[in-house]
Amino acid sequence: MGEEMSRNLGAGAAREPQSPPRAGRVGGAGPLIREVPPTTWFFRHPRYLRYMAREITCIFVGAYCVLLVLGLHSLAAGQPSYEAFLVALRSPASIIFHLLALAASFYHAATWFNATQKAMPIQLGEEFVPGNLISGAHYVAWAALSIVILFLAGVF
Amino acid sequence: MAKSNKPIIWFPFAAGGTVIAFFIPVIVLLTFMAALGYVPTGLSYDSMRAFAGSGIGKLVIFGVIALSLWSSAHRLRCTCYDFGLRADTLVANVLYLAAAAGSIATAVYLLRI
Amino acid sequence: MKERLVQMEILRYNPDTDTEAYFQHYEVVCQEEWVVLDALNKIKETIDPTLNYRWSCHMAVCGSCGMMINGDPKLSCHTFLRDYAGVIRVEPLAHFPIERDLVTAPDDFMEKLKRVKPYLIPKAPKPISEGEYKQTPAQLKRYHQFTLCINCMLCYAACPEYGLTPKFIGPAALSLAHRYNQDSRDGGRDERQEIIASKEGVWECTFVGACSEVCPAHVDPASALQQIKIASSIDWFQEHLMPWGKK
Repeated sequence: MGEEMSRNLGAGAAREPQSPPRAGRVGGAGPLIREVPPTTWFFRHPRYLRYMAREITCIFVGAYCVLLVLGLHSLAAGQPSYEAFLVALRSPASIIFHLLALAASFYHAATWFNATQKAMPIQLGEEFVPGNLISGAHYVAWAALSIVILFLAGVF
Repeated sequence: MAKSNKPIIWFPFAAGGTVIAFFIPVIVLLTFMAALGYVPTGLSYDSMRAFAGSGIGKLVIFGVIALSLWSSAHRLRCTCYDFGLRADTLVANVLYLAAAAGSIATAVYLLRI
Repeated sequence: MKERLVQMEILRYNPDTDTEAYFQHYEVVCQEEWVVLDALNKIKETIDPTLNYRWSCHMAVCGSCGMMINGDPKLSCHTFLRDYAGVIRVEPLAHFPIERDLVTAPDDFMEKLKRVKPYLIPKAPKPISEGEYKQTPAQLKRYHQFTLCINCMLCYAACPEYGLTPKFIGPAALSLAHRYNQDSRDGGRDERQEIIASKEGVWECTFVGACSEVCPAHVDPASALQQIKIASSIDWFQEHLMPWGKK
């Protein structure tokens, strides 16, 4: 009996560390848990909206990869099919989609390169290499690689 | 509590995120030029055929598409959860299978060239 | 000294009588250079002695006065009234159970903190007669920023993944595990990995980055967690694909 009581008291104390059960208490609910609204939480602060914007880029990037697979399919099917794919790219819907994919992929790239300094800090001797230098190096490499690819593709 | 096998999913996601950041913007730029009517010479049938016909070209194309698809699928899985969709296992299976299917299709098309 | 009439909406909750929390409006005359905590103290002293909140040092060291100020997790002793216009809305730290008014129950964080073994676990027993552990400035610098955590739990209130998945070990506890893993005197990484490389550990993090934005001690938990992910991935590949790589 005594053991039983102390166990109950223990459980009560664990649930309400600051306010042990009191005689004559009415209507009390104990500690209050405020649930996070699972579908609207990101409207609570601009930083969450920025995060969701970063995450949503994957929809456009993923869809663009599907477009690439379709292009590859037409390339494998022979010249007429590939030429038809290039013509289909000219539709207004395709142009709008390309603008969205362009914005999404650039935003992804910027957020990704900004994050490199957090994921891969470099300590040389005693000091850490300034984070902006790590991200900056990625931006420079990105620009160089993009120019090389544009050159190889015959843009200039 | 056991160590998670999440690295199998996360590591290709991180690799794919890096590939997307470095390669996808400029590739979008190229097909965007084609969409506007100016097809860069590198996107002509003969050049693309020659590029996709080479071993290194096959490797680059497959690497970029497969990793980007995987990365996008994983990120979309997390985004679905963030939007309140709690059927995480179902979402994960559908998206990872879709990414795998896209990669297999890519490999099949490449082998036909 | 310039005075300032401050309007505040403070979330109230009495566990003995209330079933829901509600906002109570206060108007209080403050000095221009005061912080939110000063305004709360003035309210408690002159207007409403029933208002409950935690504080101790009033100098951003103890980490006990964290609360949501206009929706942002902040130390109330470190948040100046002059930076706000209009009504200031004060709520208890998000994602923790409310015990009374602005006081929250930190038990979940404390339990998680204990679980990650945030203390030095020597590689081998070393008697005092063998002398002290020595560390170079570079070895100290490697983990130093992560020692600055004051356990204020603002990062937990900022982390949406913790809010959505309360099992998540969370930013501060994982960063402290990383702090000891990075310490040249420590040999406990394998023990900690069992906890932090689990599903409820680092893998619930989606790198929102809010933890680092709100940290009043300029710790960068988001960085620690990404480093843990990379290191845990390397572990996994060594353990499963290169059995000769690791014992």
